[in-house]
Amino acid sequence: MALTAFEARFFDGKTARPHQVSVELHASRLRISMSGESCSSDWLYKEIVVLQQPIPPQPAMLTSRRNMAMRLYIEPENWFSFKTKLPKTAFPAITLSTRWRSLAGYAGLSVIFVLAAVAAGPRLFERASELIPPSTEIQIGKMALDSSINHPVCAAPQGKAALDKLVLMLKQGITRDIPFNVRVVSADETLNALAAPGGHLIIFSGILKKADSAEEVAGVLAHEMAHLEMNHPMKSLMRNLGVTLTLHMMFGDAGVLSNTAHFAGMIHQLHYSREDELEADKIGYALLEKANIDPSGLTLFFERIQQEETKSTGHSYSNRSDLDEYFSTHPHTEQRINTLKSNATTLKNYRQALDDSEWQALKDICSEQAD
Amino acid sequence: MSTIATDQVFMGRQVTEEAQPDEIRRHLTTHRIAYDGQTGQVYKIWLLNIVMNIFTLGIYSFWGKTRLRQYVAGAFKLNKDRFEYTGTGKELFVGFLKGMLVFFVLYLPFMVASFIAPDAVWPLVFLIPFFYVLPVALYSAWRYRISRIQWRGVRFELDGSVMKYAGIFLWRWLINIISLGILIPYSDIRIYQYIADNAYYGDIAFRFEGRGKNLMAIHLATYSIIIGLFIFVFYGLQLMAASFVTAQMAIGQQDLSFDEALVIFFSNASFFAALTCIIVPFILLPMIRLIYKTALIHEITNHLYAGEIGFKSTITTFALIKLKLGNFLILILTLGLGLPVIMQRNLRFFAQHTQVKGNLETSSIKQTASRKPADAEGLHAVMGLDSGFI
Repeated sequence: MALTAFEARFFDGKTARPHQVSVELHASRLRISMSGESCSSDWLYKEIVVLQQPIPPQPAMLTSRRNMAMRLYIEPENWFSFKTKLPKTAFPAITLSTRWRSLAGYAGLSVIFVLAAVAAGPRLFERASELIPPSTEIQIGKMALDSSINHPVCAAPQGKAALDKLVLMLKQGITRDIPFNVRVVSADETLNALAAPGGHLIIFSGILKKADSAEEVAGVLAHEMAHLEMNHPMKSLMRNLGVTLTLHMMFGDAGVLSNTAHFAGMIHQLHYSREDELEADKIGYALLEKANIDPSGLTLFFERIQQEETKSTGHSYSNRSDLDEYFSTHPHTEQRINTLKSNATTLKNYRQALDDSEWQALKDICSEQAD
Repeated sequence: MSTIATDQVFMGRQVTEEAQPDEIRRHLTTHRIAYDGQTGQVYKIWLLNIVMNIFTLGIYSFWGKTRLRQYVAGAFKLNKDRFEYTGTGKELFVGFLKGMLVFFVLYLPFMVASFIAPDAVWPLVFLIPFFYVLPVALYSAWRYRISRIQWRGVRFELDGSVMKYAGIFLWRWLINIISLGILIPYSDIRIYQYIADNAYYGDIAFRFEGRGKNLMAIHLATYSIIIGLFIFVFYGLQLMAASFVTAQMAIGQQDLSFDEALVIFFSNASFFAALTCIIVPFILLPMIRLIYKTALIHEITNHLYAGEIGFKSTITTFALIKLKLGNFLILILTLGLGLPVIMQRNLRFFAQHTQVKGNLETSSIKQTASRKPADAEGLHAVMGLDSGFI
């Protein structure tokens, strides 16, 4: 005896002919009768597969394990009286509740995985930087510089000789096999120096202009050479790649979120390079000591930069909040000076880094320029 | 843009059924397509996808995409009956892995070569296969999607060869360049023709009778207006540069601050003339192109047949402009959070403007055994060709 009956839409999976059918619910099966035709078909409840539960106004979509090409569409209003009759096996994968449950487990695992990837990924990539052959490193450095620096190179012969002399002295403390390629480029307004993979080292002429002695320049040089000694540029490049790849994997398609991801990646990267800077200060100090050049030159130079900053902007970097410090690529000048000063042990008899005429020649290195 | 119009092939609902002799009525009956997808539901699926993608490093996206496709397909109704998407997330995921593999294998020779000879030009030769990758990826995606749609329990199919399609695609691309874009309608039609000629619904083959020459007049007209606008833009840019130089000189001569110079710059009459030259074409240009787009959609829809069933598009240029402009504004104003709304608008637009003509109550359409197991759209996903959405 039929408990309930309702209209439904049926397709046999063989032809596109639509059938308006009436469905009768019995104890262990449902009976589908074609209207206007005498034939009918019985589906046991245990044979039924729910392909989609109703999402009003979309009906429920059912099939039978006997022939998975068949389709029976049941309107939402008839669904709920019927749903309770179906065994659990009728809902193969995508019932929402079980889905949510498994998702929760999956999500937990994923969070652990993501945290592990974020923590270990960049470090792994950093290690990978050791595997890159020197010739490739030189190429990469050249590419990086060619694309970012287009200032004329300073090429006065005596100046270059003085510069080479400084490099040679500082090189004594270097343990890695680095083919140093040190150049001064003409940019009087730029107070910066940078080191690129493969021994490329660029000093902006602003440094020479601002420096009061060869020791100060030697200090800057030692700091940058220390970066190369520790392979910082390559490491940071690889780290960057690692962070970017990790975050892209995570946020790939999410659109809006990918910007956040980039921002997060940047903070990550800056945090690292801040560690690098302090390390380069320390190693640079050792290089100066080894070359028997007064390391206080580096300290003096930083102090003067700080004064300049205070004068031009009205406040010193030391007035900035801790948050600012965390976000800036370079650590506080003040903090660096303190670190350096704490390293200074006893006053020694240092040699003069360059004699007066050599120092003058270095200052004038930009009197002749090449492209 | 035309993806929407051709992606979910003909769906709708019967609206007119007048008492006429059967033979005539069979040709006259027009079925409208209904789309009743709920924006709330779409948002629910979309947001779940985003959250799950974060937790699963993007792996969920294949299942999320499938869920969305299932919902959207089910929301299309043609003559009382809904469409069904039968693809699975697993298929997409496996397809993606395969695509990655293909991509890597194709990329490897170039990587090795450019490592051996970093400064040489010859390694670029190994990038040539990548010209094929785009059309191959496009066609296999078409094939996969079409073969996973069914209506009234009967599958759609897309046959044909990806390499043949790629050949046509690249050849037409070359022709477009050589003809300086003049022959674009022939290319558009030819490429569409290949897809339509290889499409089936059950055992019914699709047939396409559109012609490129029908579009030539409208193409040439819009094309020449666009070129005219480009010249306009070119002179506009020159004017703008001139007025900027004037403002800069003012800084030097009159000892003005930068702010004051900016005021001069913005109040300069020639600057505004230039502004018009820039802005007007940038709004006008796409709009004018939409005139052609409308004609193209009409041509490809109105000349498509499946057995005795025909199709009709009622899109107008004005409606298309309204749709695109609205979508653009929604995207900008919601910072991307309105994406589901845009999708809904596109789908509704398609349903509203596409009609199916003929007798759908035929019992003669039969399911066929799948012609070819269509691989999932792996390359398509690897290349990031989807909008990351449907």
